[in-house]
Amino acid sequence: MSAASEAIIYSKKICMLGTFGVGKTSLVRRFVHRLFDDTYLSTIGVQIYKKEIADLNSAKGRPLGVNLVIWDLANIESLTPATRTHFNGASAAIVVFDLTRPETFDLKQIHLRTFLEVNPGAQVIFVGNKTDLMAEGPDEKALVAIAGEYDAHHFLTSAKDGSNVDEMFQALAANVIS
Amino acid sequence: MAETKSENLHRLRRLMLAADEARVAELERALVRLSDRISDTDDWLEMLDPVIADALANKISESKEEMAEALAPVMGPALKHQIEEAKDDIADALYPVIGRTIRRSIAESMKQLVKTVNDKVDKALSFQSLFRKMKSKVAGVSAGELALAESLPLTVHEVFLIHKQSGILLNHVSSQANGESSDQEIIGGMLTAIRDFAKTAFQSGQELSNIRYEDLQIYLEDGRHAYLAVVCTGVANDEFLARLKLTERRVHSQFYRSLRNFDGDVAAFQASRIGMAKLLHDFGTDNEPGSGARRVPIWPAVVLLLLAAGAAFYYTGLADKTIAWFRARPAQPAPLAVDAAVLAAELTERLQGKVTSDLAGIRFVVDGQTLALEGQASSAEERIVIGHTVANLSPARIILNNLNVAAFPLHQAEARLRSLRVQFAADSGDLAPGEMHKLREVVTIMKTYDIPTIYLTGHTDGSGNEALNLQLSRNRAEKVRQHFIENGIAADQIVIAGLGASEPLGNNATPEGQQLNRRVEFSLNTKDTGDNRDNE
Ligand SMILES: Nc1nc2c(ncn2[C@@H]2O[C@H](COP(=O)(O)OP(=O)(O)OP(=O)(O)O)[C@@H](O)[C@H]2O)c(=O)[nH]1
Ligand SMILES: [Mg+2]
Repeated sequence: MSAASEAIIYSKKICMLGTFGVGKTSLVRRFVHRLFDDTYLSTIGVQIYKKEIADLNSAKGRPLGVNLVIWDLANIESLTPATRTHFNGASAAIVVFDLTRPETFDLKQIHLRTFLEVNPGAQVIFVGNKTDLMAEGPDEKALVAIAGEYDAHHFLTSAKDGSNVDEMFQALAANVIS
Repeated sequence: MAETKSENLHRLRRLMLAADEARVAELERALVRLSDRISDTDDWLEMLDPVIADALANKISESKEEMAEALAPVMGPALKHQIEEAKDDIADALYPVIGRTIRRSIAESMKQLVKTVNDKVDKALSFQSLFRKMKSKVAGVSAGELALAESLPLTVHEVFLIHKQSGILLNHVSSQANGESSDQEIIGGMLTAIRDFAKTAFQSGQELSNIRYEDLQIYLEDGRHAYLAVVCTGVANDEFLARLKLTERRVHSQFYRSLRNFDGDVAAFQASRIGMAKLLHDFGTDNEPGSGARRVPIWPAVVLLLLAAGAAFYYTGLADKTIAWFRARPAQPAPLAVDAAVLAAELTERLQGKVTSDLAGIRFVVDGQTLALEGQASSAEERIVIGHTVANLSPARIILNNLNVAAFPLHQAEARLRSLRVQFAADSGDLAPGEMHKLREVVTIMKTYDIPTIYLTGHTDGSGNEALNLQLSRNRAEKVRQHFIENGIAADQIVIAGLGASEPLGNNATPEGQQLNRRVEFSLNTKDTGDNRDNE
């Protein structure tokens, strides 16, 4: 019994934000199901995924795990009261940009401010996705500037070749726990 | 990659529209299905009309109007046109329509109707057989078959406790040994999305209280910070609804602080399981875990039910996810190499003696990259520990913890009480660190099972003199008694005794043994006190 009572598990809700086609769904699918698909099926409404990350931090000698419950939201240009409720109770947002499309870096479009109004104190991570398409290496400047503004972490990822995807989610999990 | 950005964008748009076209078609099909169902319902109402009392008939014609009204916008050609026109913005186009449809939802009014009918029928048995005959005549089913369906009592299959804001699953109990789907957490999120959607769509601010598909329903009992979702078959009676409400209230009063300050720590809600299990137990079933014969496997049915929340579902896009559940997982890159026998041996080695669950009974099922654990854990805590241990031992990246924790009947609750010995600090009437949760669990068990009297027996280790030890052991029991009284147990329900060092559990020559001996034990029966070293 004694081992049992020391287990700690947290469940955290995470929202994926970003303009259409930036790769929100692809990142989640890569992370949760280890899959990638070139075809584009735009998300309507919301899809929910879950992944347990075990043994995040055994510093205290206890098993510590996080259930990430990931809400993959459709990008909706104008928020309605109904779509706004999707933000409720989230611990973090992953804001995804498409490195090949500078216009996706417009934060107004993705309602980050509303998200933070609904969830003051939530963590935010900024992600520049599709590094595999950047022949001369990704241009990080815009990403760094935005992340700096919010005092947040940023990551360069590719859902296609998988680079940095696990690292990004792991870092987020560690962040929402501490 | 050779494409320019604008070409890319163009391609993207095209792909997007193509996808939407498929969705529009799907939506249209869904609407047609919905309308079919609804017109069936209409027939049904008509055929019932002659057999039921006036008051009911009124009720039905009311509902009919409501239905007609609700349907008009859905089926109206205007909508089809609207969809055609607004492919880019389907969601927004459907939003107001769906809101009204759900508000007057068939599910709601039919549930109301069936409940009213059943309540009446309960009161007039002779009426029931007439009703049944008429119904079967019109419907062309044998009267016996219908009688069977109607006599099916309300059966609760699953109880979910869900955090209202985030949709995070706080606890879950199932009547089925393997009743858990891989992702109850996802169900929690889906229900919450539907609920929130419905709530904002009803301008009147009504809460969705029931989702129904054929004979399966989900009752939603709303509380301030969390809600209960109960999956059941049969029609709820007032007793059940009252109990559901009571269970929700108890969860809120017991966990108020954890709920208000919820930070994702679901372990804090473990004890809520007891009340939920009680609901399952009292309104369940002969379906003890494992005994198994059920007409339909419940999970696909739950998913169907959620699908039947229909239009809202399509709107929120959750349909994709649920449909996916019916399909086999797509092929994964390289299958996971897991040797179940080795893993089982390692797991046993790690956890032997630390947990009470039947480790040998755990099965490891590999599906692509996923490793699923199946079997029983003896408590929610152990379920987590086993999951974590397997995560450490195996290379699998995705571990589905499908271990089920059985809902426990009274005799198990009693066994649980006995196993909950609280330990104390040396030479002191203070609890050892980390023991408080046991007291909370005992209080919950007492309240949930309406236990009339509990016997507390204090013990000490072997050091010190006998008179002092007797006093100390009594003080320990008294300490626990005080805690119980503060938490709503009446003083006359508690009987305490102190046995000093006379009944050691552990070896007083070792510090561990001494710690084991500094304890208070619980029992429901006075004869048991001091004699409850049940085998664990
Ligand atoms: N080359 C490359 N393509 C990607 C990457 N991530 C996503 N894509 C592609 O980009 C397209 C859009 O990806 P999604 O994941 O569906 O985008 P989304 O952000 O979920 O889009 P919406 O649901 O419409 O908001 C798909 O065709 C993906 O295959 C990536 O890292 N590299
Ligand atoms: Mg998407």
